[in-house]
Amino acid sequence: MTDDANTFEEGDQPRGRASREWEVFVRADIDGPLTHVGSVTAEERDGAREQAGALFEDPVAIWLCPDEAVFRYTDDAHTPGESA
Amino acid sequence: MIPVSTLLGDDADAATVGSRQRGATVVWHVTGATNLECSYRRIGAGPGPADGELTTAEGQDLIDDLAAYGVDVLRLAGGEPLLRDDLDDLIDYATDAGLETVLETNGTLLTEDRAAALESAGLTEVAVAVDGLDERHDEIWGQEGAFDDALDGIAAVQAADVPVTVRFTITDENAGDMEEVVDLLALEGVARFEFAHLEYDEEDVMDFEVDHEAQRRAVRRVCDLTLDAHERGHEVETLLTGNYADAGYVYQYAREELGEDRAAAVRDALEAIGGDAAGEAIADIDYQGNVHLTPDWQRYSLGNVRDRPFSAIWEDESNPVLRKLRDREEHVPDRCPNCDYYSMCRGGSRHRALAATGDLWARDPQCYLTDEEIGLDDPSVSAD
Repeated sequence: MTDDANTFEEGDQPRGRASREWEVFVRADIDGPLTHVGSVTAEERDGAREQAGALFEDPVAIWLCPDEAVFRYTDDAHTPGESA
Repeated sequence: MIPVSTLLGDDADAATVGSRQRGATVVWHVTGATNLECSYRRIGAGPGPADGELTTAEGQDLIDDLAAYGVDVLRLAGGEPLLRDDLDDLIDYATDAGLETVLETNGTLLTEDRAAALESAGLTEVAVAVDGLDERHDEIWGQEGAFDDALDGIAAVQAADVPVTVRFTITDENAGDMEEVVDLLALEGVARFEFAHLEYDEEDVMDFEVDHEAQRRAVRRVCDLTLDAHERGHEVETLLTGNYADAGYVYQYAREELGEDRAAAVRDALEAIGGDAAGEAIADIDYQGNVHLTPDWQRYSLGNVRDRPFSAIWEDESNPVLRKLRDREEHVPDRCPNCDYYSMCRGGSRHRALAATGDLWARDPQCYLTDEEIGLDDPSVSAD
């Protein structure tokens, strides 16, 4: 790694409020990439799947990941609060 | 937002003032902390600061991004935003960045000292929730004395010379109190009243919804009380928010009460205002930094400002929901594009449709206008 390589800030702040947050990924067609399309709020996986299915019509795949299972590392130049 | 008093006044064209630009208004819930539990609003997290609230430094970077993006108005909401310790600093920072700031509060924590500090920080306006006369308001906000405390708070803000808007959310419990609230508070010097329809993205909040006939009566009351107040020399300003079916109704009201010429100007103004702005002119950021399409659509987030700046999230039309909302005429139910009032409504609330039916593109359950009123020739499309 060179001196000017990006440094990364680990983000571990919670994102679920009244209940759990689920990151949603969809693949619009079989040749396309899996794309992050936001997150939905639901206590259980089935509720998250139902919401994602209502928001994203006809994808070939929907993936759901509980927010707390995601480890995020962002270039600290783009991490809010790090410039102060 | 439908500026009823301006529309029904002598210069309806003035009602078109206000920005439709993308992200013109951003609501930021600065804290999840609450001191009262409102029966129809579920954004609060409890009495103390919530887990994961944006820090002061994160909030300042957010404000810098909003200002650079061209946001005009930052509405600071909660929870109860006055419970956030650095609120004055954030307002001061936003003011320096060129943003107008509006505080959305239940009013109970506003003292004269607090109001003076907010004024010094540059606060542009305070919006205080008053949801009925004393007992009704106390019941809705779950605390005896909440109404009196809110009125004391309003007086404190007035003493600090900060403009006040009273926000009255119409539910099945309080619609009958509207005129008396306006009369009472107009005597106290309040000049601006917002009547908000219930917005929600969860089924259980629908229990508080008023039926279509009651909604029509409520909107007519707002129009009537506006004209009545003006005839009596009270220059109150009235607004309707939360249901763009009201645009069609207000236009019909203008035709009945003011004649075709003035109604034509009202129609032009309503079309310029342009209807529902979710995903476009209004955006929402919760206390953990999740970006939402509009303030009462909290169960879906486009992304989080801890990962990407708000400006990048709001401009990213690779998101299918954002893209469709901005191209909604292709997706709204058949009834809507054929409606005489589509250009002043744009299909109403998508999150209410989603909560009520499970279908994002179903009819807004609060559209109370009949097929005949909207000029629908073919009854076969009205089922949508």
